[in-house]
Amino acid sequence: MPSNAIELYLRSIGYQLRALPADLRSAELAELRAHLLALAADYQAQGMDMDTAAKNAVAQFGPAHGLGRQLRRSHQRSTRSAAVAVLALLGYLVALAVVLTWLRVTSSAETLPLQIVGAVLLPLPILLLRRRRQRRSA
Amino acid sequence: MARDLSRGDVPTLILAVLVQGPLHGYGIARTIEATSAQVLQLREGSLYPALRGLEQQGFVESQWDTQESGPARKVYGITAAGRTELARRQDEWERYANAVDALLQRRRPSYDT
Repeated sequence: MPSNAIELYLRSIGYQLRALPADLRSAELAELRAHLLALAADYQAQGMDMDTAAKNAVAQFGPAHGLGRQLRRSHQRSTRSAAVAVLALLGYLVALAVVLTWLRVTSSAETLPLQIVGAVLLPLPILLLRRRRQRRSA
Repeated sequence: MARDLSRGDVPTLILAVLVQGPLHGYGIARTIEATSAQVLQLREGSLYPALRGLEQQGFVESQWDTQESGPARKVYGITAAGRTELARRQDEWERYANAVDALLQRRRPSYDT
């Protein structure tokens, strides 16, 4: 039987995550609920009644508002990263189209293939360096 | 003496636990508690934002594990990139710990007099 203290705690976190899609929010709360119930079971095994065990489990988890905010931010970072990646790809494709058009107009038939390969591969060192910096700052 | 973990330490400890084998969040918390002989105190909810960050960086992956009894649990495992990242963080920690140790040893004679 779910404890009132645990359900109230999860409701508070659920409110912080209200902007998430419903299935993602449910999955987050289901995961937290499983952990909290396991913690409460540990406390009950030590002789506490269900309500006291649930309150101790919730206290051990930390303030609901803070946790909800951190979880919300972690999902926002994920959404932002995906949006930035899509925009970067679109920007690259537009720039590539412009460069290839310019090369087609200005280059000779002999050098054009090499110049096309160079234009396509140009961002690679920048992407690798950026990825290396992201890993270092993690 | 128990010591509260800072938020920045949590991802590193999660990787150090998961390198031993996949675990769910409750299991990760219990392992940190047991391995540190309860010296490291964790707000257990803080595991989850850290796990999300590690997943986004590709250091950890997860899947739901259905059980015969009880609710399904999400189990986390370390990736190859996570192992590399853990090794890097271990090097950094050793350099930091050696530097602090050197300073503490230098200050010790003045306390003895």
